[in-house]
This record gives sequence, C-alpha cells and structure tokens, in this order.
Amino acid sequence: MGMRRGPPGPLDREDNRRSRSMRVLLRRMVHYLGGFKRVVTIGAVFSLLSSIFSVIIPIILTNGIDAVVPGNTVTSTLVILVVAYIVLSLTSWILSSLKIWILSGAQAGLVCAVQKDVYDHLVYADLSFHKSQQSGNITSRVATDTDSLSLGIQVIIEFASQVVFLIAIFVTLWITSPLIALTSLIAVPGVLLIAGVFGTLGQQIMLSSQRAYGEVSGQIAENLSGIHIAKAFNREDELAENISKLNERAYAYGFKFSVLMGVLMPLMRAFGQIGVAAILFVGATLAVGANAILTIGEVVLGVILVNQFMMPLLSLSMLLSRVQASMAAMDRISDVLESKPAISDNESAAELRDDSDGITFDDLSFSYIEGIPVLRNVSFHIRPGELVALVGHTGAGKTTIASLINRFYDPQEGRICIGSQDISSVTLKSLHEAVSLIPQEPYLFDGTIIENIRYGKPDATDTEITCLCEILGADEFIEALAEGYQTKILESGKNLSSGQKQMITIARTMLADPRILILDEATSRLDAYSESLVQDAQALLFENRTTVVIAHRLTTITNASRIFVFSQGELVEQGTRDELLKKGGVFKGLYDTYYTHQGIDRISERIAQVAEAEIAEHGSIEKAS
Amino acid sequence: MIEEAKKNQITPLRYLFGGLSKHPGAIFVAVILSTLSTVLLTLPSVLLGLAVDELEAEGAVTSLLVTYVWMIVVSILVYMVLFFIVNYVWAVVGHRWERDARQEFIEILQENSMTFHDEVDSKRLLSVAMQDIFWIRFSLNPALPDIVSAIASFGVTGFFLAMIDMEVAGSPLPIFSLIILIGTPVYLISAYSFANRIESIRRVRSETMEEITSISQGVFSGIEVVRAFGSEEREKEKFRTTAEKYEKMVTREGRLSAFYIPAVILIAMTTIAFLYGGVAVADSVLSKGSFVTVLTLLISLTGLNFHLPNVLLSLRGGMINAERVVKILNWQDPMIEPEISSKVDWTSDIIFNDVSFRYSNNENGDHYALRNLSMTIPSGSRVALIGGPGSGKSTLLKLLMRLYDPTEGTIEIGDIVLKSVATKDVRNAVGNVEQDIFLFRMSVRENIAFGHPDASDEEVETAAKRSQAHDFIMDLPNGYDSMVGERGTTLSGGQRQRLAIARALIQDPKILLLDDAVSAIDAKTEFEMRRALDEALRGRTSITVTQRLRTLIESDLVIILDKGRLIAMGSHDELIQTSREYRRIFSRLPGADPILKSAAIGGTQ
Repeated sequence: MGMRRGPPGPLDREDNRRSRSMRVLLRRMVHYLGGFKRVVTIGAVFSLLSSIFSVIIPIILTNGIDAVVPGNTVTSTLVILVVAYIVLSLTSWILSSLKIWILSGAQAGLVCAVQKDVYDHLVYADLSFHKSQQSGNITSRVATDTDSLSLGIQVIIEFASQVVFLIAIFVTLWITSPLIALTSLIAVPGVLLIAGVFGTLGQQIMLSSQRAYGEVSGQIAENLSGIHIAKAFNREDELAENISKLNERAYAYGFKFSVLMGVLMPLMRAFGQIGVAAILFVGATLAVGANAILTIGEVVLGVILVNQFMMPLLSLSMLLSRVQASMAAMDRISDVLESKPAISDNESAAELRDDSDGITFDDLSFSYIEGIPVLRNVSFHIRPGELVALVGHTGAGKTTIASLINRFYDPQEGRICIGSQDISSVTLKSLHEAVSLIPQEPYLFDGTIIENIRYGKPDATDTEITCLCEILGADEFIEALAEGYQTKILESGKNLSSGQKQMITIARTMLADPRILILDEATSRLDAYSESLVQDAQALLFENRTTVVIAHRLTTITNASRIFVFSQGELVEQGTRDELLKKGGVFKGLYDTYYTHQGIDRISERIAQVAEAEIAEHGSIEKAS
Repeated sequence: MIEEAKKNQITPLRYLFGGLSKHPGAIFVAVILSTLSTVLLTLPSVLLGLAVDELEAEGAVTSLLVTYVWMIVVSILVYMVLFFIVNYVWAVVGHRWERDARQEFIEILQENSMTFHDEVDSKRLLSVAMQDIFWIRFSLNPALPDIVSAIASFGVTGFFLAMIDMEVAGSPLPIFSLIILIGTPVYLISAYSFANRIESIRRVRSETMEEITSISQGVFSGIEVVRAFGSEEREKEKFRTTAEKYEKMVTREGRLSAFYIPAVILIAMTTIAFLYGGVAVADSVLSKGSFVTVLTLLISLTGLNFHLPNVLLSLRGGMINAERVVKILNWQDPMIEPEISSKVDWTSDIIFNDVSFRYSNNENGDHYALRNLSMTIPSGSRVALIGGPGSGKSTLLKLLMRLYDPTEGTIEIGDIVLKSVATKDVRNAVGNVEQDIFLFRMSVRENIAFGHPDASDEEVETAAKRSQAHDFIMDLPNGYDSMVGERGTTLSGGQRQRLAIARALIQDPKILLLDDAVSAIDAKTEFEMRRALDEALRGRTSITVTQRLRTLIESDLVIILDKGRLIAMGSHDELIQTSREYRRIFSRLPGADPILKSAAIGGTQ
C-alpha cells in the first residue's frame, strides 16, 4: 500500500549493460584511487622495477653460458654473473613482495572506502530510493559489487607494469637481434586468437554459467523458505527434483567452461613453444658460419624471453574482460552514489522544544511525482494527547500523512507544525526523538530480543527494559523463550509469532517514549486472544500521547476520539464513529465494507454486495504481495 | 553419502576427497597422463640443450638440429592432446562432485526435521550450498591437478638432472641430483606451511563477509525503523567497524602471497646449478648444451612461483570450506522415524496425554513451550484454538503434524501413539493451512496440486471452486497457468489464503489444522472466505487458530492456552460465563455489551 508508492527508481540491474560512459566510470574509479595516491604510485614503481628485473635475470644467465669456455679456467666473469644473479633475483623477489604487500593494503582499503561510501549514501538516501529496490539488491551493492570493483582496480594498477614488461622484453629481443624479435611475433596471432575466443565464447559461457548458478541459488532459497510446506505435504522429493534439473544445467555450463579452458591453456603453451622452436631455428641459422651474428647464449636468451613474452600479452587481454565486469559494478554503485539524499537539517534548524505537542497541517499539498497530487489542501489540528484514526480507501493518502509527519518528505505547499514549530525548521534528530513511527509490518533486526527493544533507547538499562516488558505483559512470553531476553532473532523473526513480534515493537517504541506516535496499524495477523492482549498493551502505549493511527481495526476506530476520513487526497469528513455513521457519507461506505464484519454478527449476502460495489468504485484496501 | 552423514560423523578431509574416491581409475589415469604431459612440456629444454651441443659440434644447421626443432613442435602438440584429456577427466570429476555434493547437501537439509530449520539461518545454508561447495570444487579442480602437475614438474626435472649428472664424468658427487633431492622437499614443506597460514584468516574473512551482508540486509530492510528512531549514525558506526575488520582480513589474506619463501629456495637452487654448471663446463666435464638444459629447466620451475601460491591457498581454503559444510551435514536429528509405521484410524479422538514440549536449543533450561497438556479432542469436532503470544498454540499444531515429537507425554489417535507413525503418513492425514501462506514459484495449478501431485485438472478446478478461488483465478492473465510466488503475479492476502485452502482441500486430510490469519479484507472477500472455510472444515476434525469472533461462536470447542498451559476449554456459551480471559476478547468490541452482560449474570449464578 501507500508506503510502496514512491517515484519509480532505477530498477534492479544485474546484467552487464552500462548506463554511464566508460569515461565517467573510470574517472570515478580513479577518484577513489586518488585517496591512495602515494601507496599506489610506490606499488606501481615496485611492480615496474620487478618487471624489468625479470627481463635482466635471463640476460645474466645466458651471458653466463657464453662466458664459460670448455678447457679454460673459470673466469671471474662467471663469479660476477653468479653474484649478480643472486642479488638481482633477491631484489626482484623483495620488490614484487613489497608490491603485493602495499597493493593488497591499498586494494582492501579502497574496497572498504567504497563500501563505507555506498553504505553511508544508502543510510541517508531518500526513502523513495529504498522503496524502489529490493533489500537483497541493495545488499549486493554493498557486498558483491564493491568486491568485483577491487578486481578492476587491480587491473588498472597492473596495467602499466604489464605494458612495460612487454616493451622491455621486445626491446631486449630487438637488441639481441631484430630478426629474433620479429620471429617472436609469431606468437602474437596465437595470443590474439586465444584472447578473442576467451573474450567471446568464454565470456558467453561464463555468463550463462553465472545465470544458471543464480537460478540454482534462487531455487534453493525458495525451497528453504518453503520447507515447512514441503514437509506438510510430503513433497521434499519433488522439490529436490526441481533443484536437480537446474543443478544439471549449471553443471553443463561449468563443465563446458572447464573444457574450453582445457583447450585454451595448452594452446597458449603451444604457441609459446612454437615460438621457441622458431627462434631456435632462426637463432641457430644466425649463430653459425664465419660471420655469425649471434652467440649461443643469445639464442638461449631469445628462447627464454619468447616464453615470457606470452604472459603479459595474455594477461592484458584476459584482464580486459575483468575490467568490463568491474565497470558494470561501478555503474551499479554509481546508481547509489547519485541517488537523491534524504532531507537534512536546515542551517538554522532549532531543537524541537519539549513543550511542543499536537500536530497541525496547514493547507498542505504534496505529490511524489510532479503533476500527480497525493494530498490536496489538507488542514487539520490534532490536540496534544488526542487519539486520531485515519481511514480511507487505497490511495487516499493516509500513509503519506504518516511519512510527512516524520519528515521523510517535504510538502510542496503548506506546512506541518508540532506545537507552534514548523517541522521543516527543527533538527531531524529532535523531531525523531519526539515522534515515533511504527510501520505496518513489525520489523526486527538480527540480534537478541533485548537488543531489539533497546533500539528505542540505546542507553536503557536491562532493568528498565524488563520492567517495561512486565508492565506491557510481554515479559512472560519473552522469558518462556529458550534463552529469554537473550534469544537471537533469526531472519527478522522467523522463530517468533506475529503477536510476539508486535509486542516487541510496542516495547521498543514505549522505551523510546515519544511524545507523538504514528502507527500504521498492522492488518492484524493475530488470533482473537493475542489480539486482545496486544490491544491492551497498545492502550498503555497510546495513553497520554498524541497518536495518529492508520486504522484497520474496528476497535481502534471505536476508541478514537476523532476519525479523519480521506478520499483522493482530501480530508472529507471528521468526527466520532457514531457522528460519522449518522451522517451516512463516505465513512458509512467504508465502515460497512471494512469494519463491520470484524464484529460478531453473521455476515449477510447484502453486506457482501454493498462491499463489492464500494470496491468496484474505489479499489480494494487489500495489499497485494 | 547421505547415510554416511547421518550415521558417522564425516570428516572434512573425507568430504573433500570423497569425490575422488568415486572414480579411482579415472584419477589414476589422469595422474599418469599428467606426469607424461609434464615430461612433454619439459622436453623442449632437453632438446634445446641437444641442439646447442649439435650447433657447437657441427657449427652448422644440420638436419639433426632441424629434427630437434621439429621434435619440439611435435612434443608440444602431443602435450596439447594429453593436457586436454587430463583436464577433461578432472573437469568431469570436479564438476560432477560439485553437482552431486550440492544436490546431496540440499536433500539432507530438506530431510532434516524442523528443529534444524528453526535453529539455522537459511541465509547461511544458502551461502554454504552455493559458495562453500563451489570453493571446495575449485580446490579439487583446477587447484588439485595443478598441484599434481607442479609436483610432477619437480619429479621430471629431477629425472633429467640426474641424467645429466651421469654425463658429468669424474664428479665425486651428483650435484644436480642433490640440488633437486634436497631442494624439492624443502620447497614443498615451506610451501605447505605457507598455505597453512591462510586457515584462520580465511575463516574470519568469510564470517566477516557474512556479517557485512547481514548488517546491510537488516538495516536496509528496516530502513524506516532506522529513520524513525534517528539511529543512522549508530548504524553507520556499526557498519564501519565491520567493514574495517573485513578490510584487515582481506589485506592480510592478500599479503600472504608476498614474501613467498619457497621462491628463495628456487633461487638458491638455480644459483648453485649456475655456479657448478659453469665450472663443470669450463672443466670440459659438462657440455654447454647440458648446461643450457639445466638452466632452462630451473627457470621453468621458477615459473611455478607465480601460480603455485594461489593454488596452494585454494586447496587449503577448500579444507576450511569443507569444515563448514561438514559441520552442517553432521547435525544429529533428534526426530526418529519408526521402523514400521503403525496404522491409524484417523477418524478417532485425538488425545493429549500429559504432553510437554521444549525446543531442543534449550536443553538445560526449564522453558517449556507446552506444559503437562492433557485433553481430548472429539472426532469430527470443530475446534478453535487461541492463546497469547508464546502460549504454545503453534507448537501444538506442529506436534500434531509431527514436525516435532513431544519431549514428555504422548499424543494418541485411536490408541496409537503418534510417534510410532511415519512422518509421511502423519502428513498425508493431517492437512495444514498456515498463517503466512507460502506459494512456490509455480503456476496456480501446480500450487494447488501441491497437495496432491496426481490431481487431474478437473480436481484442481473443483478444489478452487470449493475454496472460492476459481473466479479470481479466471481473472488472472493466464488463468490456472499464471505464475505466482516471487516475480510472479501478485496476489492479495485473501487470495493467497484461498489458494492455500484449495491446496489443503485437494489433499483431503482427515484432520485439518488451520491458522486463519485475516488481513484487512473487505466484507465481500470476508463473505467468500467464510464460505471457503465452511467448505474446508466440513466432515473432518479441525483445529483453527482464529481471529474471527464469529468462528469462536460457531465452534464446538474453544481451547485457550497461556504460557504453554491449558487455561480454559469449552463451548463459547460456557466460556463466556466461566472464563475471564475469554471475556476479555470481547471487552473492547462495540456492540458486545449485551453478550457480556448476559454472561455476567450467568457467571454470578
């Protein structure tokens, strides 16, 4: 109902289509990198140096091959080369280790920075953004996307050093002999072929595989949440069968990918070795005869380097696909970072005074989307301590009123006052301390019961909480739970009944002790007896508090001091139940349709028909889920 | 493996390698071929040496040299074929293992009684089923074969070096062989101890990631609550701490690959070979070609340094993932199925004999969900069951479906103790319409037929008509073939409930349990619902948890539970006079005064 009616937001995009240009996304990535400028630079330099060293080391070894001549005594050259080898190898090892050391920290730090940034934006994002997203999607923005971002970052950092490595190898080969260098290029088409196949066919299989995995995962999630039904109807086997089918598909794709890699990997090696064979042949030709231009060592150098030539080429081309995925993640993250922030304090915002109470709507109009008004010229005054019930058909604007009093949105016209203070000129903190909203579905956080109650007042002592629960009559069932107040709440309360959840939310709000209470009444999922207990607890909660209830219960509208009847965004009637019934207007129709049958009278065919007509005109109040 | 998991506690190691023992022949062949292919991959180094010798000796590109060049090409082509076969075998073994392991895992979970599902967070189960099992497979393939071929590389290199040693005339010691004989174990041992360091880090990292997911999921599902209590800052702090902990673990895991000590061992090995080989060449006891072979062989080994650390970490990490899986698989179910299921006359009275029940995660406590419950529910009666939060009414329903067994006492139906009846038989006879109607992501037809898989289309339709669901189903875009559930057609609470009633009707249970949760519905829907319920309750014993006051009045028997005890039982007329708790239900209701007044008079009599 109401609350879900927000402006349409960016929809869930899990695929790799991007909505922003590469430049924008890269700039944003580099911006985050900027926070780690020094370490990243140092890391890149280390990476570069160790690349260059790994080219020099083969040169030393092959020089050694030329330096020793059979029959001659060992030259000092060999000793120098051996020493040089040790020194360079160890230095290269240290450099690359330092690189890993530094960049691991930078990479993790960067992911953490993005995570915090995304999270902060989400915590403060406009409610409409949250309404347009499933919480599962939002979670993957924080957890999964930031992770795949880190891969992209790694690629960007490594890119330079791989390129340098490549150039260094080629230059070395060229210096050795241009002909050798050119021969080494024989491997290039091979690498391009592999990269091409990997980038197209490989990517395709990988995406299908991910999708298939996603389906398995979705089915498992569904089976687990429906396990009680499967058991009740003895249908566990059939559900396992469903998974088996999907699982088989995921297997087929995963297997295909492995087989493809089983072709590409040896192929890559093969191209390298064919390069070796070619260089050996060309090198040998150049190394013989009277005017040999190559030494044996140089031929061997060519052989070693051509093998290494493959690595950076391959990793560069394969890394590109990672960058793609990473960009897509950055794109989705950008959706969050660019989301509209929620309302924040005015610069001149004052505290809401302790004596400000009662609510006044002053000629207020509001729309979520321009041109589609949700509330029109609404004016009313609720006295301090009064209990007012809001009623109306779907779309009448009840939930919007609740959101506006909490200042989740600002009205386009008119104003809302608490006492004499306009709520747009008080601090949000003081407003939320004075006003509490209980949403329709009782929501509990993962954590213990006592933690959930304490949410209303973080510095409350244990005794304070248990005393309150005693007054409410909630302590009995809490203590009857396995671990009493320390019982862990799983999956927002799957181990609790609806009645228990409602009692806990009531306790939480009472602990916060707000002056003003806004309640979107739960569309009662309780049995008759629990219902009577919850109502007793609520009566305590309402006592001496200014209360606005979006009412679904017959008893609530009976006990309200005034009922506000809304129709299509306008306040059309107000008064007590009896007054309004006598009037025979909008309220009478609503009453017959939604409230009367909650009593003890037998429902008649005639009332059913009246209700049908009423719904045909205004739409059903029932929430589709 | 299901049986094994139930009876013996399986160990992570057996779980991890269980997949391999299924195909010992294939694995044996794969290892042999893998070694062969390593030989082929190493061969070019040897051929290079031979070519160099030929070049030195002849000073010309001889046909033998050209042959060596061709042999390099041929050996790599054969290598490709062998590698493909080896990889294929491992892929079959690895991916089949993953598929079967996941299937078995989910089947075991589904078989586990509700005690299990109440205790374990399903988010965790899902992540184990998907992530952990994936990572274990990853450690089986490609990590394990990579390690096999790495070890083979050491072996093959050692073999060739030993051959070269034999060539070195007059050397007192086979130095090259010694290099590899001493170097290899040192390398492998230090590589192993390196891989061990990941254990604690990987575990904390996985747990922290779970925490991050759980925190953000919680906060963003309940964002209105967060806003309403103005606790954004607090939530931010909480996330910050966890994100920073995660950062620390990721950093530590990333840094593990830095300062990979085994690499230094290889450097040392190469240095000794370089020096000794150089001297030997100068002394004319070693050919230049063999020297080249030695060096290129060792350089190839150095190539392992890039890949091996990650592979080792994957394999070791796989063990940790296996521990997580095994911990769940080894859960011992307290619910025991009888050897032979007793036959029951389901149309008998249901007798509760001093039944007490305690949830198992509370073994030492004295918090009973039900306490000493004794009562008889006459056959064919309509019973309304009510009680406060935590009164034990849903426990009572679960016991009747044998989702749990009583901790003490017995439930008897026609002199047969329910515990001696197989759960399958119990659930065939006892139907259930639960409070939060769960519909599967299937068509409307399949969802209704869920109660009776072989039902014909006519039977489905009849059930839908009896539950007043037929009309709205026909209004759906694809009628009975419309998809419901997540991402399917959206249905209102009243519609879902009527589908659930149809599902129960088609099952035609002897005993029907009904948690009749009413959402805000209109009189028309309410009217239809009541007709659907009348239809559902006809001709069987029924127990209804209800909010409908009308249902209370029309029931044969009303049972009130409180804190796990039976506090009142009788018809509406009796209870309105005798039970204070029962009268309380009507106290806030408009128009209930006459009832209460007349009752009050009755009560004082």
